[in-house]
Amino acid sequence: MSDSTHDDHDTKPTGLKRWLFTTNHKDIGTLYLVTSLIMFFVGGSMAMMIRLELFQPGLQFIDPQFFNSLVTVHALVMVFGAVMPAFVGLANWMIPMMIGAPDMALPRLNNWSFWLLPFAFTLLILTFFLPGGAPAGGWTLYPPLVLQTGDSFPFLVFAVHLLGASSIMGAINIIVTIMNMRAPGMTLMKMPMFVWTWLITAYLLIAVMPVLAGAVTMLLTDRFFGTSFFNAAGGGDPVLFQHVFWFFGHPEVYIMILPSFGVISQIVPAFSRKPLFGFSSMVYATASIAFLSFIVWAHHMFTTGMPIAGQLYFMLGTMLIAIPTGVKIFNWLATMWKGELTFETPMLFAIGFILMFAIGGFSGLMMAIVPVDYQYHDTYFIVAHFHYTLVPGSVFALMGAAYYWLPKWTGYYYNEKIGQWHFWTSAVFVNVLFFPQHFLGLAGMPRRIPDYPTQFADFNMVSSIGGFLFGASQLLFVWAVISSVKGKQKAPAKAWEGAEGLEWTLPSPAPYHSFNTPPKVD
Amino acid sequence: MAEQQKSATISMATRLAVTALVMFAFGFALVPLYDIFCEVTGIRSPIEASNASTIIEHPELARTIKLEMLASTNKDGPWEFHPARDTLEVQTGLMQDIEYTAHNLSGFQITGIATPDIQPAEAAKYFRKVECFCFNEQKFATDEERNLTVRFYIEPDLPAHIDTITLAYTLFTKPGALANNK
Repeated sequence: MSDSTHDDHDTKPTGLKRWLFTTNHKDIGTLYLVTSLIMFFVGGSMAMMIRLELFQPGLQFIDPQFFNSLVTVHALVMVFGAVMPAFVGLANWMIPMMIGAPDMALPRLNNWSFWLLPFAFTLLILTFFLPGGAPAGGWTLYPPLVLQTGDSFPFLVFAVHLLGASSIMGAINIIVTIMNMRAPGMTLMKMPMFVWTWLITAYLLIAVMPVLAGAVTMLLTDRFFGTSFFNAAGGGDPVLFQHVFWFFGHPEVYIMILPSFGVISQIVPAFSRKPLFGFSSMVYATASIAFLSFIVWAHHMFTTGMPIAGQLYFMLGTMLIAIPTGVKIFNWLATMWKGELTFETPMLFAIGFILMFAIGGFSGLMMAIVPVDYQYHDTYFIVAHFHYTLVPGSVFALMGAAYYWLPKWTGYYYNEKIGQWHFWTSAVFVNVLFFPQHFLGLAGMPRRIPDYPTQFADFNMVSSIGGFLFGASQLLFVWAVISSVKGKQKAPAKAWEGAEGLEWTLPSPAPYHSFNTPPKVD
Repeated sequence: MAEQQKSATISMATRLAVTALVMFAFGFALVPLYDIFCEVTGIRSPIEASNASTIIEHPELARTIKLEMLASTNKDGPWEFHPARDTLEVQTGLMQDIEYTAHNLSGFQITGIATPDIQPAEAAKYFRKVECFCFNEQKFATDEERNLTVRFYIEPDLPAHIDTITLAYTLFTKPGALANNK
């Protein structure tokens, strides 16, 4: 084992082979990031079709069954294809550089966990072309509806298995890297916040992705092997599936947001030219959110019927999460307080994140209240809520992270003017897109419907216009990335004046192997 | 990579992989845990008979409440299924019988399985079924129609604010039963 080839210089196979066989954390990070950007546009084009159908009442363009498939696969693609792999890509690129390691701890496992993804997405997208169409029961896969999926049902299950396996292996790699490969002197409490949030996220992934794998396996055996886990006729209970699913599903939403908190905690200090306010409280807040995520899952299920004690417990437990989340928001604000702020694109996305993620947080608090949840449940209000946390939440954090670290990745600055345009168009249109959906939900428009009464027409049209313009503005991001790859303006090692951390001690672009001799951290 | 670091890496990765496998098993363990939880907390109406010998009738504590009876079949159900009456005045503290009627319309011999539900859920643990067609599979010959009995006892310490109990049965066709006949 000890004589396994380990090149000290930048020799690597060229062409396709470089990417197929790579064990380099930066190459794999790039693969993840590019894949997630492609999936972002795949899922986004499904969203455009959904908004097109909802532009006016009546059925214009899309068959209702296909509409349901679009809603389902849009969610699966965005969650498992766009947001999660993008964060794993960031982790791959940045964690070794931020902790002073030469690479990830398990490079070959890293290659495998990435290359499972294209196969999983092939299975998932293929379902559109199978008899019976793509899964149409919603991304939550509730039986008995999901069991009525046509021939694509096993494709769905195996796609979820592959995605889960990929995430688990990625998470194992990240934990082992962080725990074993930190530079001398880099104690846990000296780790950058992004590394901290990923460490906690990785534990969440290992704890809950296998539970989802178990749940979909039970669906598979219910459908094909005569078991009755969720079949009332055979003594099972469909509500049990909801419990198992949300035991995975609630931590899953924090899997998609905790690394965003990490990103924001890197960007805000850099452009405020001040260290992060309340570092240790940030760590404890992240850990508290992760812990609480395991014990509040049934707030997704208030309308299934639950004893009053259960409703009270899940309501109060859910509201408790607002406390550590509030600690984070106030810490970011305190970091900016009396700082020397400049507003380059990453900072704009970070501030947009803080503001709009808070809107999503507040609507979440509203839905935690059981009696009002009975009104909001399965309406456009919940659609508005989780899109606020995921789009100007997770996606804005990802965009901010990309702008922040692009000079380090490519060695060149992106076109700042394009970045600014990208932010302002995104920030305006994301609100035009999602804010009216709050009103639609409060007025009673159910989610997952291709047609609606005329009373909902105006807000839907506004929302659709916002949707098309938001979708189109994302092309500016591609432009900005290309402007950095084919860059003109060379970036120094420390690309941002106020940026701190080991990654900025390496030249830009970062060398193929990060730290062959570990740096010393005081 | 130093040997020491390599072995630390392998052992930690192994432990984490085992954790993932344990969590996979935990997903399946949630199935029996869920049943136990529902039983212990009395959330779900039991489908096992209460032991008749442990029930002592208390006519002196009898209180009249309204019992609403519901019957439904799911989409696979080639059944006609209904209670003898929709509502009934019943007494707490006394053993009583009610009847449902099921009629097999499938044109085959089939087996029915009924699941009970009691609302409000708070009442479930006071509503003791001594005899119920939901305890067993019910075989029906082609075109057979028959009465199905429930003998129950509502404990007299049923909380005073509950004056109506809804008893709902859903009748399912046993999976595979239809296919075997075809």
